[in-house]
Amino acid sequence: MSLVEPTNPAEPDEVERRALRLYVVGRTPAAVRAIDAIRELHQGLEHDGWTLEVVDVLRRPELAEADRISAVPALVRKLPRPVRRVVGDLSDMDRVLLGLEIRDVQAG
Amino acid sequence: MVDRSRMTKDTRETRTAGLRAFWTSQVRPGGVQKLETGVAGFDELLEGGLPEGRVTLVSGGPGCGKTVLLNEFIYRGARDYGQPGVFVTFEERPEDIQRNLRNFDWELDDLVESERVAFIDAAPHAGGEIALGEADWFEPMLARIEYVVNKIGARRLAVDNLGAMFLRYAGPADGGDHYATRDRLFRFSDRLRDLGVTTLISTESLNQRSSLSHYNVDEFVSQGLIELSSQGGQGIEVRNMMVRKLRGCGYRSGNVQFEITSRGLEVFPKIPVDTSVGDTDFTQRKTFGVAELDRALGGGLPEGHILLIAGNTGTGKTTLGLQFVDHGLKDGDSCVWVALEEPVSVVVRSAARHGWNLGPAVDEGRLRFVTSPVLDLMPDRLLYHILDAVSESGATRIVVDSASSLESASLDAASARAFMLQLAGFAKTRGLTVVLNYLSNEIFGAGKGQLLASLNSNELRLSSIVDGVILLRYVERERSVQKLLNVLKLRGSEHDKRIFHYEIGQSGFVMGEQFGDDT
Repeated sequence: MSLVEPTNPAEPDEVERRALRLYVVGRTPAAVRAIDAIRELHQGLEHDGWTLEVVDVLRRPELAEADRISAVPALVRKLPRPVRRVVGDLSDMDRVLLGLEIRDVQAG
Repeated sequence: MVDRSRMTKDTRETRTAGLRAFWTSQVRPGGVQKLETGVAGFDELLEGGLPEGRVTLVSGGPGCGKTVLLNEFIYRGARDYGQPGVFVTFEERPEDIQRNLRNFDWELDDLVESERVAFIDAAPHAGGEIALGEADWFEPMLARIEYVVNKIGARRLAVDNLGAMFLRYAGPADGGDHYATRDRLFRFSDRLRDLGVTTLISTESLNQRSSLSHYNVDEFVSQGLIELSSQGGQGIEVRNMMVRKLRGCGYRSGNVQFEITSRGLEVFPKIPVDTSVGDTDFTQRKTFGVAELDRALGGGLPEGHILLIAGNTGTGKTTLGLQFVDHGLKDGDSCVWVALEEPVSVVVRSAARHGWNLGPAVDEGRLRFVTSPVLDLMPDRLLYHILDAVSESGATRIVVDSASSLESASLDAASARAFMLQLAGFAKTRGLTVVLNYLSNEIFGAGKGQLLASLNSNELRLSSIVDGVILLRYVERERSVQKLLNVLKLRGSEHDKRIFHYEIGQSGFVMGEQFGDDT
């Protein structure tokens, strides 16, 4: 149960079907590394309709609360449901894609 | 057992006030303030409450009651003190916690609904989460906690259980380098303190799987540490709590018992021991209504005295105790009878056989019975039930029938003695007059040394706790067994030292001739 309902206008619409959200904290080296890696990963997915948002937990704690983010960096596959999450070192593209079951979605 | 539902708020306040007199610490302006938690007995143990705006660690093994304590801390604050609270859960899902809490007589759902209680869900995700390498839980968790604390204006915070977080996201900074880990823990509690809320953090204790012990919990929790433990008893779990440290604050030291009932936690802090008779008013006497006995006592039992009635089975200890109660009731006193030997119904029937109708006094609330299971007898709990019964009835006379059954219960001699000392301490401060019945092993004893020897050899060394001793015993004379009574001791008061014959008749004790060498 989460107390906070997402009120962010950028909240992915269900019809988009394919949405990723990356959570980081501030501009730490780890955050920058994660952002770079996931932007690169996203470039390869964009034409398949995947959206990507980057959220700084310190600026938008209400989103982190709603998505129950307990560690960063965290990449969340918000849509399609069910939600999938990968946290930690996001530099290995294959493991991230596997962890979020993105290829399964593409194939499905 | 005392009917707890009848226990009013007034009772609790009276009880607290009684204990408050013994607090060694004082809260001074500018010093650490205490935040009353509302958890029964916990504030007495803490001499007022938790240090306000600080972080206190609660450590204990699985099933010790950590989660319940943390939950009740939040619940009582929101319900009884108008202090919203945030509960952070690292292990169990909030839904599961709330479901478990429905077993208590609490109304938590409304408080959650109205955002006076908020859960932060940091439990492992149901759908799973793939962890690759090192992840930082520290900053996002602090950000979420700060956000929700500010959102609902929280004054209380509970974090359950921090050790789980170290296991789940153990990176090089957490698992490898102890110094870095300790530093992290310290900063975490430091940052929580910056929020200005009063915080309880739980963690598993030594030798537990997700223990923080090897990170030297003591060092990181510079402010406060409370340990919970439990041991299996004959039929119940015996739970203990100990405040290990509470920097800048006074508290009661030592292990105390607590139990978890449908109302939540109840902690039983030790009653301070004070056996001084300095302020006993010897002109005020509580009589038995047995003229010769009262005379032998110098006019009755001095108010505030603890009297031991020692004797073998069948010598009439219970009868004499009942007579003390019945006469007290007729004198306008209220009484408490602690029935450890026989069921209350049996006690009432025994009284009725002597024409002492106790029913009306029970109905009027002037006579209260306190019982306890003899197996797994929790002396601290029994003591508090006696205190409550005394507070509720305004009793000035207490009879414990019998003190010896404490020993035969699963209680070691030291615990039984500690119980007596505490009861005596409480009685003294309230000016209560107490009769303790004691089953002696000696059956026959013409010389008083024979019974005296068994008393002295007794590990309880009861005679040093009590103010007076009445001996009841059998003597074999002229091919018959006769009963003898004498007042062996009565501290601070003149008394008749002679030995008397007595009989138990229809109307109770009947004192006879002095026992002489010629008889």
